[in-house]
Amino acid sequence: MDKYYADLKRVAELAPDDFHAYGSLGWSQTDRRDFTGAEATLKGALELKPSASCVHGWLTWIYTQLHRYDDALASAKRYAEGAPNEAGAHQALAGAPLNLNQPKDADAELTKAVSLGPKSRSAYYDQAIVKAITGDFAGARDLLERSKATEVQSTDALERTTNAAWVLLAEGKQAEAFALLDATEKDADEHRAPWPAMRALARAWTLWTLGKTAESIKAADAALGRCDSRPESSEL
Amino acid sequence: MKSVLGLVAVIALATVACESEPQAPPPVAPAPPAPAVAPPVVTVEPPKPPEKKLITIATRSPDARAALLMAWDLADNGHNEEAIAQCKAAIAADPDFALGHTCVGSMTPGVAGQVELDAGLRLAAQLPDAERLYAEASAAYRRQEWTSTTPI
Repeated sequence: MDKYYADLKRVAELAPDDFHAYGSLGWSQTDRRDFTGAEATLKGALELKPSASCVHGWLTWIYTQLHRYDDALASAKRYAEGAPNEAGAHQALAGAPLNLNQPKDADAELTKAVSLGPKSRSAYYDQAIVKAITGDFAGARDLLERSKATEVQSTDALERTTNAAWVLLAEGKQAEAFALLDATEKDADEHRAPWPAMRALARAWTLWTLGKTAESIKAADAALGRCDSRPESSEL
Repeated sequence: MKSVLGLVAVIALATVACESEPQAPPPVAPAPPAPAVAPPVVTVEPPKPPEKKLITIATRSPDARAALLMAWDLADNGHNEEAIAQCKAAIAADPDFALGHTCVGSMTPGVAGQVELDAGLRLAAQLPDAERLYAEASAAYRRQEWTSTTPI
């Protein structure tokens, strides 16, 4: 049991009426990919603070990981009912149509998300990826460009450039996509960025989708090497 | 005759009635001296709800506490940029606020974030367990103190 999780578990035991204690523990469980445990913990958090609509958004993500798409949609709707002006609620609502191969509907929800949360960086990224899926590469690049205005920390750009690599890949510009991933990985190392495997993971998935299985596994091994045995590497 | 007998009966009854009237009460015994201290008034209070067990937030500044709570609320909803501004405001209000430093450190990448997390850890050393462990967990997360528990 890692210290991070063990400490938060103890905090929740010591402070069983504390919403924040439960929320933090729930997140630590998702890091361990214990989604069922996280679901139970976050439902406990919701009982402590029923007005915390954001928890429905967290549950949306968890249900998606568990492939419980009906539950994910129901949770996203509850998030939007409780917090209709939160960008995150509309990002959550965008997930369901995307999983049902209805990217236009997802795009509409993400347009609302960007409009409601102009400082919400992840909303720009989500919509850029949806634009790339629908073949609107210029639109995707425009959103990534606009997301620059939301960057406040030195490492914020890394996620943008990783997403830009995905857009290039969708456009069929593989060489440019890999060159961008190389550069991003170098930057990430220099900045001691969090989530050290993120760029290597993107590379592995890219190669996998291109049908380059052997190279993908090699990239996945490299990603694992960066994980330091962190539990989230099981995603690979 | 009947009426005379009746009158006699009425007088007799009246006499009985008068004789049965309460007599004046006997002289009252002197009251005991009043106690020097009044006996306590016993009131029955409604039962109090059990005290909630929460993570303590040790700061001498109400502003710092309010800023931290707002930061947590903002971060919960994905507003990290606004959240970190509140965390910094919390430290400005109370430079010795352990959870304020932990909050800034958690949202700041790289070495600068580690420095803040370490400050939070140091300041939390003597705090109640839940608060101290919360600071320790945040620092452990950044130091990547993981052991593999999930099959890869």
